[in-house]
Amino acid sequence: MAIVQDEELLQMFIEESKEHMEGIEADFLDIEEMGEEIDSDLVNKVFRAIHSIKGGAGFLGLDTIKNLSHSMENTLNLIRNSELIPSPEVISTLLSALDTLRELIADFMGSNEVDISEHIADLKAVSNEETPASETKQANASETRAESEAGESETEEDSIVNITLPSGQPVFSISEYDLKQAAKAGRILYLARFDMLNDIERKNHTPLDVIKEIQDTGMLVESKVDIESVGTLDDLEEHPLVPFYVLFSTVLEPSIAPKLINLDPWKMYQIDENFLLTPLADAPAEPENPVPAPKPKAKKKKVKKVEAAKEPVTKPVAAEPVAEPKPAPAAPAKKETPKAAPVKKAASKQVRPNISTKSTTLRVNVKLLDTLMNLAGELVLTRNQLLQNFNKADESGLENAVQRVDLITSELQEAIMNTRMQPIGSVFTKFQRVVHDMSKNLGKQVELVIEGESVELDKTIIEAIGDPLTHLVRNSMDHGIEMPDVRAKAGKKLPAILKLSAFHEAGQVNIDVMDDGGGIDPQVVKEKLIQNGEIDKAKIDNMSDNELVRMIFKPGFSTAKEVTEVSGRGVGMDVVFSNLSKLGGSVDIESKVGIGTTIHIKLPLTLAIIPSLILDVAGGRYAIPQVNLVELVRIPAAQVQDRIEKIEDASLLRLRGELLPIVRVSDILNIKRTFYDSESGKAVSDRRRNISDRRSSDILAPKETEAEQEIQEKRKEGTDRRKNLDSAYNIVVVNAGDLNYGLIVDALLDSEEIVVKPLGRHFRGITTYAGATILGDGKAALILDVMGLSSAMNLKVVKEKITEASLLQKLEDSKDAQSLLLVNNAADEQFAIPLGLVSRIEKIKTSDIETTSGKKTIKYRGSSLVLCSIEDAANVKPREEKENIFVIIFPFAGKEVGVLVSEIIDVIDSTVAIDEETFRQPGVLGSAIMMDHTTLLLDLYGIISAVMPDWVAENKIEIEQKTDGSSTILIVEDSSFFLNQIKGFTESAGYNVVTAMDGIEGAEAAENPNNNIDLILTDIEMPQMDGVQMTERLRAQERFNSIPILALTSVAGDLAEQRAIDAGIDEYLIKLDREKVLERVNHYLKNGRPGHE
Amino acid sequence: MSVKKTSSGIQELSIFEVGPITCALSIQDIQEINKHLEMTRVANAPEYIRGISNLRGTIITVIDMRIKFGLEPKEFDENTRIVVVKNHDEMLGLLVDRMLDVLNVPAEELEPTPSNISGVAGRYFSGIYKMKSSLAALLNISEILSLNE
Repeated sequence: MAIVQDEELLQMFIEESKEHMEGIEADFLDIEEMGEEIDSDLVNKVFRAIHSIKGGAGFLGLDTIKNLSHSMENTLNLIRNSELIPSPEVISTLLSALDTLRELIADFMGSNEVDISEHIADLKAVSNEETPASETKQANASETRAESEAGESETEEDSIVNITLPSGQPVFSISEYDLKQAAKAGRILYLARFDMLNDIERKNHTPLDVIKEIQDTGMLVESKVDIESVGTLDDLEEHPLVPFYVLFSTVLEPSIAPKLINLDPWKMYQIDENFLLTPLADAPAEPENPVPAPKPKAKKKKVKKVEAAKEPVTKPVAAEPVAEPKPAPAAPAKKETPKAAPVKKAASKQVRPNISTKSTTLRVNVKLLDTLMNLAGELVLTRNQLLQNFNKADESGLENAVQRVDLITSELQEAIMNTRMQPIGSVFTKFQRVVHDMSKNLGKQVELVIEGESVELDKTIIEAIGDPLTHLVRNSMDHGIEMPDVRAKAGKKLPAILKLSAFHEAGQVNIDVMDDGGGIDPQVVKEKLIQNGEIDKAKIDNMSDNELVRMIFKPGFSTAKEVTEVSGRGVGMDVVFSNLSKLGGSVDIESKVGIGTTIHIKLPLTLAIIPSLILDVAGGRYAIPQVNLVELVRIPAAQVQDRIEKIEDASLLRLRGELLPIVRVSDILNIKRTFYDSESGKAVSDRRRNISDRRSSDILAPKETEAEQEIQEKRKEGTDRRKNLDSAYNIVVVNAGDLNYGLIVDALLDSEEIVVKPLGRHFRGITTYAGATILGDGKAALILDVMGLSSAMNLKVVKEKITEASLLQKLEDSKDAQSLLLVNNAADEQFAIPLGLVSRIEKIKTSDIETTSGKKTIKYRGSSLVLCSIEDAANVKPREEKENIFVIIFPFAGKEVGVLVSEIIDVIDSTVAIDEETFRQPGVLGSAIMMDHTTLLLDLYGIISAVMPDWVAENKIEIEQKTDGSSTILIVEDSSFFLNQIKGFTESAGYNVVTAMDGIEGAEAAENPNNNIDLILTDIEMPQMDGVQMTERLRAQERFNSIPILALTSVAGDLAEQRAIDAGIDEYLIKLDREKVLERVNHYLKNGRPGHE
Repeated sequence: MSVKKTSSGIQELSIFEVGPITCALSIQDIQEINKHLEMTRVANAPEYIRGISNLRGTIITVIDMRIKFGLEPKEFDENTRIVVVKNHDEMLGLLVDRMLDVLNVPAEELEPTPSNISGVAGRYFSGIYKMKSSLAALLNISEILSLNE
């Protein structure tokens, strides 16, 4: 039969088939795993999928596809009936048939010319040999055979049955075995004769709909469109124009069956066990031919029109035993089918309709479509509004309408983007197969774990990540995961785990490929690098382990002991790296020898529309995707000299203690002065270019003497009309994977959502652009590729060194850094308050302060808040009189108290040592120089005790009552200032205190049995041994298991908190929050550690 | 675009000028002819690329024919036109100095490129059309747009 030339139908079939085949591989593998204990639901699911493909293919005249799926279906049927054990061999055969099936469907037009006899033979072979393998099966089989022999002679079992209409017209030739299979379990065989025109087209159906409907309730055996029988014009009145025959079986009774497929009963026939057809009803007008044509096996009397309902349903059941013959004899019967395919060659060599086999359509949730529809409707309404208001020149109406357009557009955009989103699971599941096959090939035992299949990504990205991921998985399988014996020796469990996981984070999709294999040995990488000789040995020696491991992303690098078939030859990770970079993603690797390797991939959600920053470089506008932006920095001219440094050839920006490589965009882009001159010597932008070029060389050239620098600055100011532009640098800090760097641009323009357009092929090989876009004014602009820029400038190495150096520096800095709030009371007197103690800061009017019975209060959140002034307690200058002042609110004894100050200056992280002697007085803890001023560190509790002694007394009694007074606390703190503070308030609360100045001292003090420590308060950052290490040391000893250890920190929300808690620290407290500290100390002394006593 | 293809019947040729060279291009190769489009320079691009332009939502690469022919670039003026062609499924613009005419040319009046026209521009021509007073060089678009410089 020729292939049906209906593009729409073919396309639909292709898509549905693809959908059907999607999960099959994984299912096959599951079936294999379960072995004899088959999960019939699963087998049925696969069976149905293959069956649907067969049905569709048969209908469309794709005979080869039909035949192959038919053979697969037979094998599956045996598995389903427990007549065949799904051994790895069987499944492998099925899988390879599936591969071919997939190829056939991808190139369906040429499918009929493909020779699939090998697959069919293989499938038959596995189906046959398995049966006698199991004894019980054999017994069963012989039993059924005995029965079947009783019913019919053996030769008839594998015969071909012709299904013939009562009119004598042959419709199908089908293997009897298939028919009987279909008629099993009380199902009744029906033949339905649709009229393509009246029954399908006019009812707005497609034949595929019909097939689907049938499959929902029954089993499709065969279907075809009978083009040959299309009559001449004369016959038109009596015959259906194009008959579409469907042979199927269902348990539904003849009275209901026609309703199922929405067909007049007289167009349906019931087929009895002798394969004779009986119409379910009289044709209304059609002159029925009562004489049936001669049938191949016509020994029975001719069929009369029987009332449909009267046909006993049980009849086909009687045929059941016949339907379970050994599969062996059934097989040869099918020989004819595959042979039929080549014969059709000539017929199918017509002009092929021009259908692209790539998936060009997309399934969209109807809800989403409705949303789109609604939005489109709204857009139309708004347009009307816009036009109306425009004509009336109604300004406020216009504004409204414009706002609505803005809103609807973004919603529309979002909805349309959603239609493109697809779950990543479709990519992940295909790795089931890859891992399965490779484990076999390599003799490794690997289990694939998949997480986050439902994470959605743009269609284009989904399509593009397949290859890089395959490569990574193969790489892990081949190089990462060890052979079973190696794993056993290393005491690692089998099977090895390969994990694919996806999750959303910060507007990006993260994909991790993790294995628990051998990991990458930086030393091996190092040797290899030295061997390759491409990079300086000195440079290699300087590399950190992480850097070395990352070298596998370099072209032509492989650590495998030998090149294997599986993971290619050297073209590997570099391809992955560049492919993912092209998608706007980044890759990083983390590896520990003996433990495993994790590859982190970050991808944007979509590539089509991206929020971007538009910037100006040399008069041209460029876009940088927001995802790559870290921050924008402006360096005023006065600071240029201090903050921009030069090391070797690189310019570096000093940013919060870190050094950041910076480059001029104009330098990367090689914007030459002569470039514009040649084209338009007169443009203003031209002169400006020169100036900026010179300016660029200023910072990039080695700094000579300061005097010269000044001269240059002056010269610039003198010649340039745009002083403001000249005086400062705009730096865009961007992130390219693991690297942050700064781009110097002329101006920052706007932030816009841009639509990415590809650049023409003439720009291939230029890595600095990610594409182009069209800006609001209709002009084209280029999108900068931050990855490409960084590689063009070769920024990588510089950064690594800096990070490590700066990390050390940072660590040093963060030691005992205290977040302090700087305030003024009198204009020239500066105070500091530990930020951790402050709940809130409120701005109030001086006139709102009330004085009641000697206390200052203010109405605040429905109650009165007690206020203190610093000068009430300490001998300092009185507060500056101002209309608006600030209240610093902090908790005290379960209430809130406010301290009045006149001005908030800043919040700083200070590491300066505090002088406890010079300015010591009530309400002041000590002093230090902060921001060039002598600053008094306020003691909020001291102020309160001075202003409201009764409150403090009350509080003290309360605490003392709670404690038994005899507990001993060990305080470990390296700063004597804090040590004294903490010691002071714990002792005054009635505890015995032992002190230590660092972790080692602390541990020793704790281990000393004479001290009899009940609880430990420790700082985290300390010299020699920090609080976490000390805790680890103590927790390792059993007798400290029940002793609570509380950490005291100066910065709230420290990132190290988790590390500390993992080490066994019970709670994290803020150093000078004495109330909380005392409360928790008391709590832990009373209740012990949770889970201990 | 090649002589062979047009060896029978009448062909419509669009005639334009690039510097001193009169060029011809079959109008079947031409999508449209534009007046001045806003041009965006692309730094680091090959010299013959004048820039990119927004053609109703599509970014097109604009090629400066003067530079292709080894001439000095020229400012846009009243007569400057961009001839938009399609090649490898991509729209590109050819920057030319002036459009002259559209002529119906019988195929037999097209002649192969004389061997003495060689040098820089020679390989960009696929034939010659003799007009009344001068010659027009039939452009070989795929050679002009090829990436091998």
